[in-house]
Amino acid sequence: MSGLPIAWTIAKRELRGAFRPLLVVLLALAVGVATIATVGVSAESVRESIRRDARALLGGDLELESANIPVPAEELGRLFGAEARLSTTLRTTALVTGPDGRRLAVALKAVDGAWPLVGAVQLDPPLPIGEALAGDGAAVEPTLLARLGVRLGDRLRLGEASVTIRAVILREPDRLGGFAGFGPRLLVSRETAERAGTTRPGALLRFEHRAVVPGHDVDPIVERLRRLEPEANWRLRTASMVEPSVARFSDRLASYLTLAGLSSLVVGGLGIALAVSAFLASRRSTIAVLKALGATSREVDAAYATLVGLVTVAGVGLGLVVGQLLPFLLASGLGRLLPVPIEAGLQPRPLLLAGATGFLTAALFSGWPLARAREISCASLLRAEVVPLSGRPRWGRLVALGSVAMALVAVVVANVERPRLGLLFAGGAILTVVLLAGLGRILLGLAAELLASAPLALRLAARNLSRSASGALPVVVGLGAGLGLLVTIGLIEVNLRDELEMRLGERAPSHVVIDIQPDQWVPFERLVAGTPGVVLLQSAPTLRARVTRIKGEPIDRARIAENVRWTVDRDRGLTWQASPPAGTSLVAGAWWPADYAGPPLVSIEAEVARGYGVEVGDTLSFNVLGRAIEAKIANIRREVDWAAGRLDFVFVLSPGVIDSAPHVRIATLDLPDRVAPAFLDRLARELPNVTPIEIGPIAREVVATLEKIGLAIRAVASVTLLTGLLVLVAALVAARRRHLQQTVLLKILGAPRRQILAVLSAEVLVLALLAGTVGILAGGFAAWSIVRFVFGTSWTFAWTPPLVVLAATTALALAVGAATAWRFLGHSAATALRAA
Amino acid sequence: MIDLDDVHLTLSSPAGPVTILRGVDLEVEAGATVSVVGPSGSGKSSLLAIIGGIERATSGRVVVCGRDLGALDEDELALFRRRHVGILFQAFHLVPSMTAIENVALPMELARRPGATARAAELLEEVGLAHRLEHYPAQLSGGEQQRVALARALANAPDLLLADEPTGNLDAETGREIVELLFGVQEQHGTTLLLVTHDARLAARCARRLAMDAGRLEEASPTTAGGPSGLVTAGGR
Repeated sequence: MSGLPIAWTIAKRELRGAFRPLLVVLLALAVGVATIATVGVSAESVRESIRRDARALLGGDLELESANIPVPAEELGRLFGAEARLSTTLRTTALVTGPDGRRLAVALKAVDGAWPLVGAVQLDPPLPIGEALAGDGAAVEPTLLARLGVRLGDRLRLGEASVTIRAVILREPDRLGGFAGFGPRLLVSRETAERAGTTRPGALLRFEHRAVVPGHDVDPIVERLRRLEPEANWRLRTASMVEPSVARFSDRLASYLTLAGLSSLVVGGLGIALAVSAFLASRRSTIAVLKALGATSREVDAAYATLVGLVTVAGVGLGLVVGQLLPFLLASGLGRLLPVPIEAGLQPRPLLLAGATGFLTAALFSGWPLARAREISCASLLRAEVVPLSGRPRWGRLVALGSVAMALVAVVVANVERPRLGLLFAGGAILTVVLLAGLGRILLGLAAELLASAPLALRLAARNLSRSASGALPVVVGLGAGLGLLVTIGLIEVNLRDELEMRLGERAPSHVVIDIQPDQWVPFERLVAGTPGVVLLQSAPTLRARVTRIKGEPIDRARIAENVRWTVDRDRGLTWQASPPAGTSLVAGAWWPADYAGPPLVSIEAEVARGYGVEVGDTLSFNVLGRAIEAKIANIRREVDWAAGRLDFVFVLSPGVIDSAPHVRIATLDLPDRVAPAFLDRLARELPNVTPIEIGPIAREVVATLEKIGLAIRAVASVTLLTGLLVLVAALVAARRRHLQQTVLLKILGAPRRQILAVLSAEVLVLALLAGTVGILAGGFAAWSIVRFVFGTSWTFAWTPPLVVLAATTALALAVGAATAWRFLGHSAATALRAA
Repeated sequence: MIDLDDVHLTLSSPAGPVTILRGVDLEVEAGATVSVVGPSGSGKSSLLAIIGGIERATSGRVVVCGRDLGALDEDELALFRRRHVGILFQAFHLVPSMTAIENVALPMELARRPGATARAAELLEEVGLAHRLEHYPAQLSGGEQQRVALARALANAPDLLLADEPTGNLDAETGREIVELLFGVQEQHGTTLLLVTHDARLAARCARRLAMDAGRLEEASPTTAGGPSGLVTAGGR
């Protein structure tokens, strides 16, 4: 471009006076880009660490998982090859009793002498694992000590045996599968588990058979096992399958956090537009002089685009540096949450995406004012007043801006894991800005009407803000969006917590009892009946089974929606019933007759039916303890409300199909606090293998996890509020000349400083309140939509989150406004007059 | 050098269209010094802007330095100014972010002339500001700023120098200094000078004087035949 050298010269010189007015551009970009880059680099580091430690996470090169019964040793030898090193672990839920009688459901893991095949277990004190588990030894997670009030060396009752706590588990390899258990980890040897009686037939057991093969050459073995898998009673997992399954959760969370970061960049974009516009308006005379001296529109355009470009490079650069460095600080925290240590490293891809997002945002939002600036005529030198830039850019420039917008959407889509989510965000962001702008315009008009007869300060504020060039609208939209996001998150959290607490208090059972053997059912019922106050709410027989085919297609070839994939990932609980469970509502088909004894039929939940693409009459195949069963879908039930705390199953089979297979019963109880100790005592004495699990602590754990995720989302959303405040600063900078003129006028007319401060602060106060109203309305609507239609739960409006957010923002805005006003007030009328 | 034929200028304003020039005719030959006097709002500055290609006439023909300005687009007008015109404003209009030497070098840099900085230093020396090269406009007095503006107006050795109330923002003594400088460099470079002023004494320094009133241009006094003004005709229709 021929104009570049002179453009560069002018830009470089103009930069001397541009740093302060364009500081908002730099900060808005730095904050937005840093957020997106931090999330991106952290997510990539997590992914890389998982990839690096995939074998350790799996605990070997290969794993076969079987439910209820182990794969015999000789068969394992045949499957993995004679030279493979093998280890089998057992996982189940069990109940332990402390020395003072306190009980706790634990995630029991029983390991053999070969464990762990890959990676190392870290214990405190640092004992070898064999030594820690020898005899009746056990290692526990730290939370177990706190919840049972026990210490190292104490003894715990486990089923029919006792164990001694020898060590605390600091890090456990192959913890990946550990999510399936309730409560903290209790690690014992296989022998101890046998002695305790936890492995009796029918108990809900999960066996994990791991292998390390010579040279880690797994491909031929995997190929062979894949062929056998559809008809086998085990599921194969390889190290290469570990990463996607672990990364799915972190990627999803990263996607939402990235979108929150993008929101801050969009809001920051409004600040960028406002700051660039105000800066160029202040340079109207310089641009006109340049043109009078013979600069072409193109040279002027190139000069100021270069100038904004330099500030953009600084802002994006700063954001990228922070975004690359911050994950190093976050790595240790992330490492505590995840099963592998996280090592942050240089991650070019997320940095590239974050940088591209920053540049395109800057180009899009500064493009409009820049396009208008090139149209400034040198005739404006003849007209002394400072007026804001106005007019529509040329068509060519509009097309270019449209292309930048499309490129930005493409980069947004590339930033998140699922393209649909990115497109939804882009569409949503545009719609939100349009809606918020409409709402803001209405509110600004209303404020001007309502405050027409208010005291002077408010009257002036309303009049100033309702002027088209006041910059109030971008502030209301930007700040309103930031506030709205926080209000949305706050209200959703309140509603979810209320819902959980209400359900736990009113409808949910207090305990779920698992592992009741068929021959223990009668004694169990007798025990319940014999304890006044205890109510048996529900019970059902259950065993573990796996879906193998959908409409005859093996599941690895069937089309299964992402949201129901969990139903085929591993063995799931299955039940059978003669009559429909209480409260069942069918959306298709009919329940089988109570005395039905024909070929297998299955009842399936509606969401899963949709996800599988099946209807009544289609078939599903299950692998039940190695036996293949094909069942015809007889009916489809309304979606299961898992939050209701009822016993519910995705698949319910007709009776007579699998009743004879080894199974257990599970039951839900309402166990009031006053009778719980006595009942649980008798249960532990009479049916020691039966495990009661208290719902309250689990629900509290769920709430705590939700709160942790909420905290991360809230932190990123706060960045949006911060950029919203930057938009406010940009508007105040843009209004500086007007404020100065107003201050001079008021000073000359004899207004004391207090009164001038009131006039200037009233403008900020009205702005913050308008933005707050927009935020509460928009955030309330968004939260209501999500709670009612996404979660499908009842809605209550809580005033605390919006009011806290509004009060904090108003206070911050007033502080920013007062700091700006104070600078004007410090000068004498004469100094202010000269400056104006 | 300048040939205006029935030039009209009407601008739009919130209160409706405002007619500024009402059929101006003017011919000025190269090397002439011409002043235009008249009350505020009479259209003097607008006439200057039209001749400098800063403002476009609503109708009529404007030929300056052999170029029909009505046929040029905005960028061609910019290039025309770059090559042929130097402008001196009442409010100086220096670029606040640039030093004195950078302000003077700017037109030469825009014209891609080599040695712009060295030439700018020479010009500043000519106007007596050799000691103020690296000062920013805010660090200079009004008189000094106008000297910088004069050096900048002369930077590309223009054929035509347009001065809009060059002493309007200066005290009498400083104004006199600037006027001496202005006419000195005009004489030295042989540049055509068109000067808009309120000041009758300043107007009298020009060989030819015109008066502007309510958008019409009239001859203010007869010229000496064969004098340096080179006046042919001036009038308003």
